[in-house]
Amino acid sequence: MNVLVRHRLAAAGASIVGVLVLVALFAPLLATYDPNGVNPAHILEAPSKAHWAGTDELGRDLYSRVVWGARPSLAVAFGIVSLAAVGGTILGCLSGLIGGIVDTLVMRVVEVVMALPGLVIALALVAALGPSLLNLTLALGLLGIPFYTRLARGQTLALRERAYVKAARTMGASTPFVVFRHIIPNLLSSVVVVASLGLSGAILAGSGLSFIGLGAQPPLAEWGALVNAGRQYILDQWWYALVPGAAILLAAVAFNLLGDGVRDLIDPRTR
Amino acid sequence: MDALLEVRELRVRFATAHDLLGRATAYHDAVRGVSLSVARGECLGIVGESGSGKTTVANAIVGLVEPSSGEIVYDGVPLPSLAGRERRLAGELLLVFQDPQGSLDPRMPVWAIVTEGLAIRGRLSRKALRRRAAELAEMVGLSGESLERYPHAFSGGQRQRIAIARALALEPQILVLDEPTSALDVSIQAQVLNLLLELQQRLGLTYVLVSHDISVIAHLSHRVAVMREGEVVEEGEATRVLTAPSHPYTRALVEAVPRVGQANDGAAT
Ligand SMILES: Nc1ncnc2c1ncn2[C@@H]1O[C@H](COP(=O)(O)OP(=O)(O)OP(=O)(O)O)[C@@H](O)[C@H]1O
Ligand SMILES: [Mg+2]
Repeated sequence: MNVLVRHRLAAAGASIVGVLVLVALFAPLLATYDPNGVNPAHILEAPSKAHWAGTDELGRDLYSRVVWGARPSLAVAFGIVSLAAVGGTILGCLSGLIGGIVDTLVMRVVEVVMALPGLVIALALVAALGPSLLNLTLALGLLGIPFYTRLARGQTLALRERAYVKAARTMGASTPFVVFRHIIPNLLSSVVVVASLGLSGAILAGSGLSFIGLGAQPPLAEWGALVNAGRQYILDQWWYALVPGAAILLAAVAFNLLGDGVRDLIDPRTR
Repeated sequence: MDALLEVRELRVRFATAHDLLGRATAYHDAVRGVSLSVARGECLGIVGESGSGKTTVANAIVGLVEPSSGEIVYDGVPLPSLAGRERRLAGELLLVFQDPQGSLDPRMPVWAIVTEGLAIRGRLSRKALRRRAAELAEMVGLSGESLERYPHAFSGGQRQRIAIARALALEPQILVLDEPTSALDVSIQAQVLNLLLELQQRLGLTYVLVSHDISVIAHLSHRVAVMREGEVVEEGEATRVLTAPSHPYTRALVEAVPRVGQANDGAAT
């Protein structure tokens, strides 16, 4: 793809992500109503001057609920990816450095977990732990760990053989020195790239589980839960499910574009 | 002649296949009983075709490869493996790698690369490191501005200068140069070789120069060892080995080169 187009897309992705984060941060200022304020006089209304995205079955303002919904939806996505990336990087780095039987064992477990159908396992885990946003984040985050473990381990093994690491060792560098000075900084860039692309999947998975009722519990406004609530009115009040659905899609696409941009940016040759 | 560095009956065997439990099932003997000795201030050239075991010998000298048997004796003392070497001898014997691309961390500015050895030893402030970096840059002919830049901004020849500066920071006794110029353009090769020659004379360094290129060997070496299939087939004074080789293998190597430069006749031994 053309470099300029790529840069524009990445910039667009970054701007949208920026806007979404601002919306989450300033939700109290941006919302026009209390997101949980019930109003029996205005149930399932179409978008209007007073209610920009209409109202739900309890007369709550949908625009305000979608704005507030940015908070749990983004928090879950960032939570999942942070847990997976930090946990996986530490595990993979150690596994690669220690080697031997530890490495073999870790990698066997990783292979097994990666071979399992992730969402089904997450579903079972959340069902066992009890449906909540926290449990959902934990389950999806844990299931993401093997991807980062494999990535970090491969990078560690490759970096360990680099001539600059060997040079450091002949100059008397200890293993921790080599790890913090050479291995982690060089491995972080690929982790960041995968993580920013992973946010896209995380927001879909997170809202997906909330959609089937395993995450956000009423009355909390969360995008997946909102789509689910709007589902039964899809024929008459189609905007109810559409507005939070569009928010999910927008976030997923924006994270994806951002991830591509980060990959280009982080390459030192293009810096 | 008292040797600063002696390699005694060095053998290195690599495992080339493993069974399911990780036990080696097949081996390759990369080095089969090599003995060398290098006097202080001398440059010993090791020449041989690809796969003859030159790099393995170089790595064993600096401790990056574990000998299967034999000894590396430095200043009369047998060297332990790298792990045991760390504190006592780190910085006395250093390697300059063939590939100047892979030997510099792409995420570190040049000043941090060249002072890495000092950072490993610790006890120097950032300011002192930067001052030392400037001195080192000057020694190898790099501009002061280069210190803030990253490796990707440099040509192969400049990168090799950075790698040499990094080694010099620790004031080593012996530099092991593994194909220091073979990744470089011919026009740049001579510049780097001349820098090495100048540094050797100025600092009284001892070199072990590994190359498959006879003309590179001839440029720096006082003495030459010729390796073939893990063994030294001929060893002797550079001018003699390169002009009147006694082993047919050496003769073939020398004849493959159009013109052989003058051997290093600088004051040594
Ligand atoms: N880590 C290793 N494991 C297995 N075999 C190895 C390893 N390193 C080197 N060898 C083998 O040992 C032999 C000698 O390798 P070495 O790198 O020392 O040769 P060289 O003379 O430096 O060659 P070149 O000119 O290609 O650099 C080769 O056959 C090589 O394939
Ligand atoms: Mg080699």
